[in-house]
Amino acid sequence: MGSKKINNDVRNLNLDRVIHWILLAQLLSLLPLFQLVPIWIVAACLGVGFWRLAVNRYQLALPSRLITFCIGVLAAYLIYTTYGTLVSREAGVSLIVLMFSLKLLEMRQFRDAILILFLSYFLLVVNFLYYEHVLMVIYLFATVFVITLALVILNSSDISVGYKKLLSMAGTLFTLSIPVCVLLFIFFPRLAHPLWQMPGNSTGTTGFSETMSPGTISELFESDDIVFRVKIKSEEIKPDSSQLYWRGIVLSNYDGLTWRKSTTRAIGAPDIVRRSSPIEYSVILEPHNKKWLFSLDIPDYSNSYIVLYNDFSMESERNIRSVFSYQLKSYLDYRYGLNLNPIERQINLQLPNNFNPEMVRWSVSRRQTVNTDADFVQNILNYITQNQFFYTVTPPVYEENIVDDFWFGEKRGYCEHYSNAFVYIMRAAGIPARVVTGYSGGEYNPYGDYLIVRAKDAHAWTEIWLPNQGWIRVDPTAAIHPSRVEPMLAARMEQRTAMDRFVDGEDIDSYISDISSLRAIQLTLDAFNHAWNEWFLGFDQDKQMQLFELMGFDFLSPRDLLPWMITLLIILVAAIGLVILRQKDNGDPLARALMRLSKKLSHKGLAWSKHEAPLTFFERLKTHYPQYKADITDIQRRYSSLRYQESRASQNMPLLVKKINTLKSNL
Amino acid sequence: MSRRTPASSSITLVHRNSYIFPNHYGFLFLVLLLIMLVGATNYQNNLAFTLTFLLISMGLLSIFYTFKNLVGLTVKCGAVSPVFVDDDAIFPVILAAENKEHFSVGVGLQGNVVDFCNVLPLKHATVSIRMPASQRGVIKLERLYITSSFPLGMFRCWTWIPLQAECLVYPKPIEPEFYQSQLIGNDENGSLEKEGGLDFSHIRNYSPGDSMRHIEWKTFAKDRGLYTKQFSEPTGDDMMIHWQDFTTHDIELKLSYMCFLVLAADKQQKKYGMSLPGIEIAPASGDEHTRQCLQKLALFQRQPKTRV
Repeated sequence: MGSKKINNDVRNLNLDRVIHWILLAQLLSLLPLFQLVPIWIVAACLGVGFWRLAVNRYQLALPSRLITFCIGVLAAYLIYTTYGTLVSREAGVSLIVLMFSLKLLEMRQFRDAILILFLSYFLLVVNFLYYEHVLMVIYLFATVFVITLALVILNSSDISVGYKKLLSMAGTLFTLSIPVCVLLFIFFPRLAHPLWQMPGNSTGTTGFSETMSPGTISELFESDDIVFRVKIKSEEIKPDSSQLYWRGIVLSNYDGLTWRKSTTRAIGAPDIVRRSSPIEYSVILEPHNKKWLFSLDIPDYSNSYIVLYNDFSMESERNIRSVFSYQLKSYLDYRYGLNLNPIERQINLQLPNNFNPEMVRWSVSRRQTVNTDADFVQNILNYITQNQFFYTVTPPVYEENIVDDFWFGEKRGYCEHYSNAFVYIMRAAGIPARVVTGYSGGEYNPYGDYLIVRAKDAHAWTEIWLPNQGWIRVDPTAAIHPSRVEPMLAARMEQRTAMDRFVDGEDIDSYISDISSLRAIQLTLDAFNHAWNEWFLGFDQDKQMQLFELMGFDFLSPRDLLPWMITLLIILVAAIGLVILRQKDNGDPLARALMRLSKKLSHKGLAWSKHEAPLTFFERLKTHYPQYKADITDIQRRYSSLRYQESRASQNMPLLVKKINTLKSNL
Repeated sequence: MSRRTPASSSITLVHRNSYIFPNHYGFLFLVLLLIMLVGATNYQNNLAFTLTFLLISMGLLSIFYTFKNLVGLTVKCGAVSPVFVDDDAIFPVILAAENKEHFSVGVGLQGNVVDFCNVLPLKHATVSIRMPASQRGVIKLERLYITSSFPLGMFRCWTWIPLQAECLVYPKPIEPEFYQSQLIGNDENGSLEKEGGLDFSHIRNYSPGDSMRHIEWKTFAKDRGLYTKQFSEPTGDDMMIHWQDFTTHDIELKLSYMCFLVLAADKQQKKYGMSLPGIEIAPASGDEHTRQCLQKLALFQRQPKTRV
């Protein structure tokens, strides 16, 4: 046989046993990415896989390198035509997936197989850029195990080794690596602030819109999707439900149907005057593919990756395509924008011509009936309460003069209609006003001590400007008489008041006992998901320092981390290494039984020498113990058949071991 | 020709003798890990971090597994049969395990692996190391290369075993064209052998049942009939193979001729003796005698280091 040079790694590749494992490892690492690529690529990858299997099974020839290269170029071209480019994120993923599959056609030698397995590991990282849900992560780490197992099998492919042994070896290696992995995870330095967001795979949105028109918010009521979670840090300050307004976008521009952002929106928040102590909290935002961030009215915080505008809306620098966590400070009690410049004023008074004439008249004349603007506001709110205004998720569709038809006609509407009408009334009366959209309320999860805000909590309210008070929030829907609130919406309000009880300091147990068991399960699961997001996915320098404090290692500062990590790593690896080296191989019960027999005989000088063939050993025994000749012959025979036909070991081995032990005790 | 050089003593691989270092794949893996680490840091992606750390850990711990896989083996060389020049000397290397299993252990020379084997506590493995015997005399297997990179294939653990095994190489038998022999008279008989030597004394007609090996094919090929060679029975006449009988000056060629004759004589179960400068071997027959003659031929004017 030829010489196999390990050093020059041209080992023969005996694929028969191992090809299935290699293909499996590769497939598992590609599978999640299949969801992100066009179907023809998936088909192509599977096709290549079967092709390679056939090559191995039927001893076919692999295509030459030239042909494989041409296939690769063709693939790249097809991807280019699909996406129009090769450098976008989607095209990149498709390219990686297809090229990796094609590598199978080049798998001739040992080193090609190794490369495929290494690339499988690498593909997992690519997966992690897109997926972060717990179950997916479990799947991906299971794949790590399979790849490792394939690697072990490949490295023993020169000569066959039982699967059980290989499996246990891969398993032990994997398990013992976990503590070291944990150590590195805790100590490896993280940045204080992330550079930018991961690509993420979010193609979904939360339905939140940048504009408002009738229906844009009410259609979200169906959705239970979680938009974000909030963890309140401040101990002393807890907002009650009337203060839970999550600011999203401020809309000043109305064309008769749709509200849009103001053109004067610019970066740089105005000064906040007269404020209470801030409440500190962190928001963990689910990916929604846009840049909006939500904050509690009124936020006062910004850092390098958050942009704060002059209307106190916030955006991130990049689209949010994966779970994004940010810390904020807000003032629940505030004054801002006391000086309203004329342009702003103008914009926020503007009404489109030729729309809702009745409203304009009504508003102007009603304004005359009160003294101050503030009184007028209260007047309108009272009007809502006292008249037959209904709050419903399924309002009628209003045509053209939306405000008139709503206010003077049906009087049935959702928050869009009320805000729309209210701002209209204010503007007509000469009070600058604008719409704010975002979310309101939230569900408290006692299992995790945080608030859950869902798509259904989407809300629209208003801000009006009063002299000496600046911009003030007014939520016209709060003025609707409770009896005229639709049952579904009433339930939501009920939920909030329940939360208020808790916020006021009432027993958490009674709060929990009010939760149905199904809900409790859901909430517990969500709490777990939240902890996952916050502590694992969101493990940054802050969390790191918090963890060290909790463990009692306050003395560690970020600069200390690297030397400590290296030191502890060396110690831990050495310790585990020692365990590995000392570990007695349990191995073969048969070997152990024979060793015991040999040991007993060593006193009589009959012990087995290492290089002696077992059968010779038995022969020797027979000459010394002729009285046991029959037994020994039986053992000898069984041993031969066992050792050379290993397949029935599981049945025959225990019996043989027993016989040996019996012999041992007899001797 | 059955006695062989006795087996060398066993050598156990202990920690001291073994080295471990990353191989190509180990370095490739390291590069891969660095890329992954940079990517993870770039995106501050904790999942990517976890994966990278897990792989780093497995890589580091595999050092110990790889090391453990090799240490504790015992190696020795089994009995080595002598060969002729231009054959391969075969050294049966036997690996045995004390009390644990060793997988994918590579055995070879000079850093090249000849074969892989598994060594289990009750199943020792034999790997045949072949070395071409281009010269007569003694071929030595001095250092054996034992290696393994099991289980992950990223680290190569190896050791050099000073085996000191030897294989005797007899000269290549070459049929002499012209040969003059002298007989030592057993004066009693005094019958002569024909010149040209030992082939056969006469032929007779073929009778069915004669061995195919003894048929005179040349005559048959010329269409002259089927005849069977008849060999003279050992008459008790002894044959003597003399160094001086050969006219060539090439020592190696002489030895090759003598070897051929020894083998032929042995095959015919004749009694024969041999004389070389400084060495006289009285006529005798049998395996042991032949072995001794061949050994003398092999070691003629070679280092006198023999362990017979």
